[in-house]
Amino acid sequence: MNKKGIEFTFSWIFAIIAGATILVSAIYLTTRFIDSGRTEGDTFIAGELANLLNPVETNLEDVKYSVIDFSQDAKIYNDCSAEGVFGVQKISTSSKSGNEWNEKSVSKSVFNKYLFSRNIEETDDNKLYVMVKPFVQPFKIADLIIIHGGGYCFVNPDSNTEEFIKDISADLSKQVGINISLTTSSCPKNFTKVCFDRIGCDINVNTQSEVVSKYGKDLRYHGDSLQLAAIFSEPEIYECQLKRIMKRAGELAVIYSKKAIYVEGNGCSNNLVGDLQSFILETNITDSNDFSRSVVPLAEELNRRNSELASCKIF
Amino acid sequence: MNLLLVRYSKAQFKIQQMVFVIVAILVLFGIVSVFFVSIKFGSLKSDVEDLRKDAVLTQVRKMAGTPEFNWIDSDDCSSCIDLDKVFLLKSRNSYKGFWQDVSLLKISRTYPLYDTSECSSESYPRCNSITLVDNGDFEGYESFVSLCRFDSEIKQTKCELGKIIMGFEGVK
Repeated sequence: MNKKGIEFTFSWIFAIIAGATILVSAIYLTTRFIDSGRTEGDTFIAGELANLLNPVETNLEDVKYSVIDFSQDAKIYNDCSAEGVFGVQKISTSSKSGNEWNEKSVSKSVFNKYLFSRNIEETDDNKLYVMVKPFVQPFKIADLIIIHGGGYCFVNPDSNTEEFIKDISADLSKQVGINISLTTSSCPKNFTKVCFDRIGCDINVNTQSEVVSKYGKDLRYHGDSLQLAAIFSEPEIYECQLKRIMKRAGELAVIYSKKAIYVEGNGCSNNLVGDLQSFILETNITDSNDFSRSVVPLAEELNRRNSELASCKIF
Repeated sequence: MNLLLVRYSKAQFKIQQMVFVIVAILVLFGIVSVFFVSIKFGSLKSDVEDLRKDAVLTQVRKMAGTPEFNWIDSDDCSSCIDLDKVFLLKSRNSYKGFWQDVSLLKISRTYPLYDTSECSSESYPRCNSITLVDNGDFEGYESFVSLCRFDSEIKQTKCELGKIIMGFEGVK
């Protein structure tokens, strides 16, 4: 009888199993390194984005506008927490590899920035539009950084908003991601429609009562900068950032009240200490309703009284 | 006395050979991985330092406009700093850690100079510098500004030449 066959000795089996184990581990480790490399790259983008937002901050300007060009499409994750003395702004990104999105990067935390946007803002043709407006209530508290990826149609905006958009777009000659239209029907499809003093859009703005209604929620604002911030941001982000801003307002008001006492001691009478201390107590807000009800009237009164001071202005 | 003779088969010898080869391969992989990781962390360190340096460079030019430093709005002075505010800010513990990745934040008078270096409640305003952050071991950058305050002697605003110095912390 012919007993021909393949001889499979123990050393062969051992070599195959050991070789396969080494090969699989090498492939696994390489894949992990590539993944962590992508996350590392996206984390640096998040850090660079936070740095790029420094030069666009305002000094004496009313507004600053900028477009950030990414090398590839990116998602910007906007996380806000109102916990702690100033709350925290967390920025993370995720870029596209082929047709797939990479994992969310490690977040960059900053305490002195306030980003208003959707929870996840996607770039439009690798572009991210950045608008920066100072928030003054009654003194400069912060710069509101509004970021969006375009695709907005403003229907019948009020004169201030229209002027602002024309200003940043050089009379609508530059693409700023916002269209102006007289009716909702003339807005491009898939655009987020924003109605001013009328209803029937995705976002409705009532300029009389200073309310922005979106996703079934009413966001109260005061002034042009907060109006834009409310239009472009997720309601939760807006409420959280407003709380953070008010926390900083409280800290600034403490410094201003100490300054008022100090300069009064040097013969510069101002009588603002009492009002500033009332303002400090009201800055611990729960939401935007609380802000417009308690902070706004006090801020206006403070502004009026400070303006009346000739050479002893506090802010 | 009995002597025990142990005889190894050919297969056992081959297994031993194979184990030695596998251990050698794993050691080689280990050395390559350590080499790779050290290069990667080296570049990561310099990348993080570059990011921190960028953050300080972009902030130092804008510091005069921040709400904690800016001078009275109605005076329209973009490079003016409210020295009273900065001095009062020094005693606020709540601002510890507010300026991230900044290991030095100092306001320094350039002219005129006084005898006292660091400002205290006794020496202010006749002193030369207010240090808000000083964590040591930094690379510093400066920006010239006007240091303004209400002067009780002349009963009006007085501005003097000064600078903001900001430093970033290197990665250890």
